[in-house]
Amino acid sequence: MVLNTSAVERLDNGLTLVWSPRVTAGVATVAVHVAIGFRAEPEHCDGMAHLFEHLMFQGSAGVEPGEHFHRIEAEGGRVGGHTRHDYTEFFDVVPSDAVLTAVDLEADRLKGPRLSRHTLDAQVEVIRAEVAQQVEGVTFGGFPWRFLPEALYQNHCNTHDGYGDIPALTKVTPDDCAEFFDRWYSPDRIVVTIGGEYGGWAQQQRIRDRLTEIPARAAAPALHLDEPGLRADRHLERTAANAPSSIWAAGFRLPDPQTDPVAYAGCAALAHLLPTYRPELRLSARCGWYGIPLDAHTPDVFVVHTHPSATASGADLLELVRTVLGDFTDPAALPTVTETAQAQVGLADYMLDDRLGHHARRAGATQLLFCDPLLDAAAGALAGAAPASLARAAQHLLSQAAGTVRVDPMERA
Amino acid sequence: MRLPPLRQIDAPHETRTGVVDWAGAPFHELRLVFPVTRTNDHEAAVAHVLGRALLLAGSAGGRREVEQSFLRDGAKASSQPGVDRITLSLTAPPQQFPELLQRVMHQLREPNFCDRAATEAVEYEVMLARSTAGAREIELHQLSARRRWGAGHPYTRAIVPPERLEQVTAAELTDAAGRILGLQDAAMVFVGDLSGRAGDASVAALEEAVGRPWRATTTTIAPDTGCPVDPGLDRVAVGAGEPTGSYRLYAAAPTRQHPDHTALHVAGIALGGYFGSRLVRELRERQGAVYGVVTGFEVLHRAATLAVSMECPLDRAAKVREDTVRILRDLRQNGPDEAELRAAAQFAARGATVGLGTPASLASAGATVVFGGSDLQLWQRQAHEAGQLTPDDIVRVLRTYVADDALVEVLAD
Repeated sequence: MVLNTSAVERLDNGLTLVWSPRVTAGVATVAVHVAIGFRAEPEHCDGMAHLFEHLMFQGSAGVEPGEHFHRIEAEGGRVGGHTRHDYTEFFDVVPSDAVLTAVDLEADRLKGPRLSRHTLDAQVEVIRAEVAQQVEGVTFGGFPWRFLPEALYQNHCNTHDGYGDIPALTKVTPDDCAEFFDRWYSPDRIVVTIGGEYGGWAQQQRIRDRLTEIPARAAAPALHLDEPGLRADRHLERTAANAPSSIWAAGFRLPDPQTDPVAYAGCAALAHLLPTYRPELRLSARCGWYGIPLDAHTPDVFVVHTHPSATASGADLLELVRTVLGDFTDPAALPTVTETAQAQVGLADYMLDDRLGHHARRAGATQLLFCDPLLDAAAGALAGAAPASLARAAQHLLSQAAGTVRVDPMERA
Repeated sequence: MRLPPLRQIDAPHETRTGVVDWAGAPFHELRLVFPVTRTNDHEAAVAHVLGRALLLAGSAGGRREVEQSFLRDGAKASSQPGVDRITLSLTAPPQQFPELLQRVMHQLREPNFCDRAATEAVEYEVMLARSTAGAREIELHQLSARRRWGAGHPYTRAIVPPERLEQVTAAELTDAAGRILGLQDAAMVFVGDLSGRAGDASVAALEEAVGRPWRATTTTIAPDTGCPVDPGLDRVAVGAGEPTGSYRLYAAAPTRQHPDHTALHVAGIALGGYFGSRLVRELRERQGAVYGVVTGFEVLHRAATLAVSMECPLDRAAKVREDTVRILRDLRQNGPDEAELRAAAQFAARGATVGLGTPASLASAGATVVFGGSDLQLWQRQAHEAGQLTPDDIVRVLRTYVADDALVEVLAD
């Protein structure tokens, strides 16, 4: 089923096209990754990248508002979109014979979406409903990503979240959106991945032709996201109305996956092993904000969280985490739980396959971020294979100052 | 949908089986579903703990030890309680599958819970129950079950209070396992690559598993074909300061085998089951009042419930309720137009290809279908039926099963 192959080509307009074949039960995925995440949006307009993701479904030159959903769903397909730290993704997962329909729809909106006051107003309201439902209305919703960045970073690009400022978004105009599209959605900032079972040479040529029709535009300048790490541990305390009990998280900087892939892969494995190693501590860990490794540029984060007692301070809890990490620093004397690291990483990767279009989406994301559509497989192979990678990861995490946040219940108004 | 080839295995003891030969699948997926009747509150507590702790039977250690023992073979096994069932899942590399299946079956045939395993299992369930107590979704589920079945029915005992869980003992778990875990009325679904020697060994292991005589078990709940129960607006108050209101529409629905099931499935899609549905187009895309609408069936062994769910910011609640009732009444009165019906039917018919696109998803969905008394050809039959529906069929099933004022409203006092 798994074909660890892919082909990458650059079209004349600058768009990157990734072919990611995979034997399925007759399903193809068209995934679009655009190099605009919420860390790149202008400081005066937090949330713009996410708003624009919504607007991309509101029609384009040859597609009426709502028609994208209608045509994909009429094929039995599913449509989705997400705005992450460093990219916005759109995807269509369809029966194989509908792949060209999905490519046509994507190509049309990548030439330019329809932008109107009405759809803009409606989608800002949808985002208000989304925040209420998905974050404020969910137990521990928004934890840790709403609270922890402030303990870790100084720069605005790294401290704000993707939903941004809803009142500010109501002031965005269609002209602002047109400018945003011109600046950030040029083809040279876009990776389109065709995954699963999508047909032979002739079909591939048709797909290539459709995507080549997107006009080239001037590229936006490169972004600088990185900033110096903490010099000393930093502990914050916050309250939240949707926290029924206390919760605490520590954030550590992940190593750069391109300059230190071994340590990075070890961190990915540690995220699986820490909860299993000391279950009585009820630790959870994740490599990357959303638990998917290799999903953002540096700086990125390794998060450990737990439900603390009433009296435990951030410093106490961080010391405890460091003690646990200390058990993994000697490659010759690792805890026995590490015997199953490879199995845990392999099974976790396999289970992620249940995410719609997962492999094509990951191939597109890693191509966009790290110029390698097969990076997940390479990192997975490293993650459990060598005790040295676990030890190096633990040493990396222990060598730095960390940021922590404790969130306690707040009575609702 | 294009289902991979099905295989028959010899199952002489009335176990319902489904076996799918999925070429190239990297893991074997097995789901075993046992019927459970929660006849009283204490039985419900015992069945609930047993459902999660099934694999601890026969183990001298706790959950961690059991998990690690499977991981050492590159596998993962777990079990889940449901109001009318216990589902066991095994994901294993093909080479290890026969031995792991034998191990699992041995535990199920001769269950024996030690005090340590029972104590750990009970503590875990109590912790989970306490952490979700009072959650809106829990309250709503209990309300819907009471409306649907009436107080005291086994299907109303899905949520078990912590104080009941605390009373469960090791001896009771062993006794309940002995009564519940028989293959009569159970369902077994396997999805994996059955080519080569490993495939032959897996088939032999499956036949051995279902070929040996087992205890007889019985289920006492009569089939339910569905009819409106207790219609009328229900209001549930939540605390001040909650960010969202909720609406739920529950309709007593027929099981999958019933001739009306497909029509009601398509009616649910047209009402609120996809982006092209009436509720999503009006409430999300036109008004921006909700983030999404979720429509689906809760399918139990002998019955089903159609549920439509949505959340909205509180300041939108009155209008959302008014529009939801109006949209439902209109669809119930006049039915969909031809194009609307064809789109919903297409989504129902072809959507299974995408939704069941991985071995794990097919195994899980297939187990529920087979457990309910159908077989793995169900999706093909439903696709055919969906293509034959007329607008009058939709009107008829909506009038039969869905009361147009059957909303549950959750708002702050």
